[in-house]
Amino acid sequence: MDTIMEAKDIVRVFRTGGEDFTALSHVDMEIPRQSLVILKGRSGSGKTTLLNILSTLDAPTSGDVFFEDIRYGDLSVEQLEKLRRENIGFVFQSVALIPIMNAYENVDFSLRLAGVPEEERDARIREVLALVGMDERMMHMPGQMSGGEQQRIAIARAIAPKPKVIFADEPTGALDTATGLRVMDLFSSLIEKEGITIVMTTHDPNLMDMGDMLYEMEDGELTHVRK
Amino acid sequence: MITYVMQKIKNKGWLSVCLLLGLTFLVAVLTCQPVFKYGSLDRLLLSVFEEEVSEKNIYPAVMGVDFVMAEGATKSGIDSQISVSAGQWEKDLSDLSVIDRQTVIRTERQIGRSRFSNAGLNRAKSVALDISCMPDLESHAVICDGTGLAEYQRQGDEIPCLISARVMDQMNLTVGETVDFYFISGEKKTEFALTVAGIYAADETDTLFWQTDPATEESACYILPEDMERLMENYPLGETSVFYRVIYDYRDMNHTNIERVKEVIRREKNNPGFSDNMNDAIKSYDAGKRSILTTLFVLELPMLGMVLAFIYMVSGRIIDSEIAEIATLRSRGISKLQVIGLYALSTAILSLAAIVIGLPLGYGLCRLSASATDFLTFEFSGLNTYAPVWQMLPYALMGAAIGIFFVLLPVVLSAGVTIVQQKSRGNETGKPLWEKFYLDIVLLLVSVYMLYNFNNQKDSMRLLALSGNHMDPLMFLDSTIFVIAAGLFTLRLIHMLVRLIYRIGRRRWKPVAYASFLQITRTVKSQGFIAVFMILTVSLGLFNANAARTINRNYEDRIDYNLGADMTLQEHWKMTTFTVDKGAGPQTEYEYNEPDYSKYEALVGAGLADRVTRVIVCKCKAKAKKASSDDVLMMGISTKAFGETASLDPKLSPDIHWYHHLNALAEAKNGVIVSSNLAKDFGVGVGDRLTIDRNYDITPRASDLRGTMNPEIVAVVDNWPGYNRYHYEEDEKGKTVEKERYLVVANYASVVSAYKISPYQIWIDLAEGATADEVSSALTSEGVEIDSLSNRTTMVKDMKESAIMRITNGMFTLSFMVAIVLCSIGFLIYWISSIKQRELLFGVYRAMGLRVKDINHMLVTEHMFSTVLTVLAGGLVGVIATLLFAGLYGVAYLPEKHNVPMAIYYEAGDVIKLAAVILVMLTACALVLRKLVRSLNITQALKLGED
Repeated sequence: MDTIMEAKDIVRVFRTGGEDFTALSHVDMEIPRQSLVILKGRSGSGKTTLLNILSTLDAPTSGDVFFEDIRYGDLSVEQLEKLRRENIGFVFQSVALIPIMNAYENVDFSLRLAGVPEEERDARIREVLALVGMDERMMHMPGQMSGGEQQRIAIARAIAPKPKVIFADEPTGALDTATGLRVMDLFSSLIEKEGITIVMTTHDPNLMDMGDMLYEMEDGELTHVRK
Repeated sequence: MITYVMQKIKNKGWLSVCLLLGLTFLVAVLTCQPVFKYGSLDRLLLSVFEEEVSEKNIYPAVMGVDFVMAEGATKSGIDSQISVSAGQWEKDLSDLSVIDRQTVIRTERQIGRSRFSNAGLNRAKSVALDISCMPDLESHAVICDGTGLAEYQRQGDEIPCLISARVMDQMNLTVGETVDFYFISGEKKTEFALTVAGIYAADETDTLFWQTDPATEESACYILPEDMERLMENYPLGETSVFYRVIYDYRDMNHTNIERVKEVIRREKNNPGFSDNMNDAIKSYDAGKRSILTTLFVLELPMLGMVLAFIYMVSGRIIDSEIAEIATLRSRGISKLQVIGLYALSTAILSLAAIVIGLPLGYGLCRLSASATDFLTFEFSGLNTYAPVWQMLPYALMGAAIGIFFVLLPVVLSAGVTIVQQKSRGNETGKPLWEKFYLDIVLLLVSVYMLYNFNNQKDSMRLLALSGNHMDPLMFLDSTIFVIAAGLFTLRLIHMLVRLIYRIGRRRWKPVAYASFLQITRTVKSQGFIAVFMILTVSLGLFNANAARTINRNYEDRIDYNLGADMTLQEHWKMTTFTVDKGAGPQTEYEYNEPDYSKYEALVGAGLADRVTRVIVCKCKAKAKKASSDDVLMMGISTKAFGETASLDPKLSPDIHWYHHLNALAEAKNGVIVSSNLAKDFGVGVGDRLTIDRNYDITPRASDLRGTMNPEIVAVVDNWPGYNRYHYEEDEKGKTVEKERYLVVANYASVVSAYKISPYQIWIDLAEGATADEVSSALTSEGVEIDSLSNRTTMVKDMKESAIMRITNGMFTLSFMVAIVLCSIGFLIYWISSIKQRELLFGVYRAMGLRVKDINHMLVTEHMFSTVLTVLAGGLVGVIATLLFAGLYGVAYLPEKHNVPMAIYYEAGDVIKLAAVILVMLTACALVLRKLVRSLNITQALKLGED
């Protein structure tokens, strides 16, 4: 299988209260293209830290991360930001829609950010909102939607610029089981239709079987891998 | 409980500090009020008394009783009658310092015979004298001729007496002359003799003592008290009049005891013998007091409003940040009342601290604002009357109570909020209430309508103000309403403008601009408060500055115009009397002795003056074909010197320079310049002739004609140095009415030739760097007796130091300073809390690939459209408010109509000061925001969102 991302010997040490705390310890990981990769683990196991490093939001203390053979360590802050804008999408546990923008504008903003030309934007917005089943509520403000609906808008926003990878940190964490399962179905269909790769974290055992690949984190180490 | 509340206060950190600051300012502003009020009233009281002394040359704090005793009165009888008549009010005012007590005892007029025989007539002449005694007379008088009573060497039973020069003149008496008085009762004849021991005059340095100028007494002679006692006991002198006076020290009077003085005067009005000379001073004080109280109230109100708005804003921010906590508390069964109680307790603790800090701060602010002699200009002198008063404490408590109320207002509104409601509140993006209900437009219409009404009533308002009635406080409030309404209205326009700009480029905006515009247009409600605050600060600041400048400068313009030159003075002229016989018997004639003029010209040589000139200024009667008037001001001038000495703002003679009129007068020896109102009312113009009569303007011959002129009009003018067309008088009903005075200006030589020499004023153009005081001391050192002296510097200083101007400049300055401090802090609070609240959002932006630079750019765009536009709008509102309302303020402060029209003044310096303060504020804010954004950690921010 073609690998889109690779992490080699990642170590992340945080210094808190004068003491070192190792959040990630020599982690190696491969992410196949056009797959759903699930990173499971208890709270504090280091899965969000790994996700942040893979998505360029954080840098490792040592080790390398490659995105299509580009080493993060060789890129400047500006280049990393560009990489994020053009190739990476995010779905956060806290949903994090922009509260002053309605559903349409939230998606529009991510397209503008990715530099999508004006004439292509409207069609794409409608397309992704239809894809997540929110085309009827595109003019609604975040405050007027339920948690699941907001998460779907967040997913639409993440996929709209057609990133190569979407990182989703506990995307179902704030949702009930049924809505969580619907989001997972949506992820599966997006991989198929949009050809993207999704890396998500979760601690919900019901969702473990739905990924193409499952990694398990424990005390900063990748202890079990199931392909 | 207390520990929990203290912990809450501590947790809120800088927001608690801001709330404490707001409460402290509220307490300070309120405690400032009584200090300023009572300090100003005491200052006013002192100034009205001093004005009486300087303008009327009388000592104004005198009360007394006059009564008549039947024949045979004794000294002890008189004393007991004094204590009956004056005992009560003297007791009531016993805490006032008494400078002196005077008792004048006077007999009925006694006719005696002089022992001197008139040469040629060989018969004794009759002399009518009011025999009087006044203890201590000699220590307050100068003996011009003869000796004093105590030193006089008595011959036999004769009783020495002192008389004034006027009595000497009236009774034809001389020093050493003896007058015999005979009394026949049945067959019994008694007699005594008075000998003129000397001629006395009031000691001019002792103005306090002389309630009646000896120069005006026509038949009084003064003997020693023991002689008086003896005469009253032994001779049938008829009824005895007693004049008892108590001279109080007015410097001892203040806003409290003057009310008691007024009460005494009111009560004693029923006592027929009672008299006082404080009526005018009290009338001026009462009128000034009303103005002071109104001015203080209306100028303090916007400031109070601003402080309360600040407190409300900070409290709102605190509640916003604690809304989840409140909702949690409520869900745990804590009642709404208990939640309110919790906040009331924490606010009470802060209020207590605010009282402790606010009291001295308020006093300090009062002293600072009382020292403002102009807008943002301070002079720390003459502040003695602004002392701490006990009323500060109740005012401070009131401030704390009002503060607690305003803090609790948002608490009350939020204390009932459930968690569900709280969640939906977070996403409010609607319009603020005022915008939704068009409150701005309604208020704007109301204020403009009120302005229209006030403008229509300007003339009657003027007369009301001149009659001592206070101005309608609504007039002042109207300007504040206008500023608020116009501020809100411009904010509405700004919102419309931003929405319009956003819509124009909606499809094309780059992500940063897109997010910024949406941020501005969708957070109007939460931004609204700080925007309104900002607009109010800038506009009120600018309006206050302009209003203060306008009032101060117009006062100065009027002083300049009324004076006509840098300084003017009137030397004391002596008169000579001589007897002439024009066929109707011998008659006394009066002639002025012109003092040496060259000493004034020497001022030029001494480097004190650039130019001096003499100007005869007098009242005269003018007649022409159609009309006549005796309210005509005449000036006799030497044209060239007058032109070089006097000054007239060229704006007041826009069509033709006033020197042209001077030239016309110089060319026509028998010409006059007349005022345009005279030309219009008399139906005359250039080339026509007038008849101008001048009377004696001095006693005793005021009605006699001094001379007539028949000059030709050579020019007609609207304005002239030293001539104000308008003056105000009370009619029979006591109503103030406006009158116009006419002006004729003639050549000095023709005035002297027509009316003989008469006292003239000296007009002086001071040399650069020279002061009126230097000129005055140079002249007095040469023995010049100056009757009156006016100069620009002193008049401007007096004006600026007056109680009402101190309040005006002080309050304008204070409210500006308070506004700036609160606005700066409010502005920072808004932006810091706005960044803090948006930390998650910024984290999302950053995660999506937005750079720190982009976020800074976003904030700059927000600032451009919210802050910068708001500041500019505030400036615009301030300018419009100045144009509309400064004139109205002028009516309140300068109610008299004047030749110099009211002008609106701006000072670039004020705008620069305001701009500098705002710039510092924005820079400080930008630096803080930059630091906040820089320290923003994306993963941390996103974690916050999860929490």
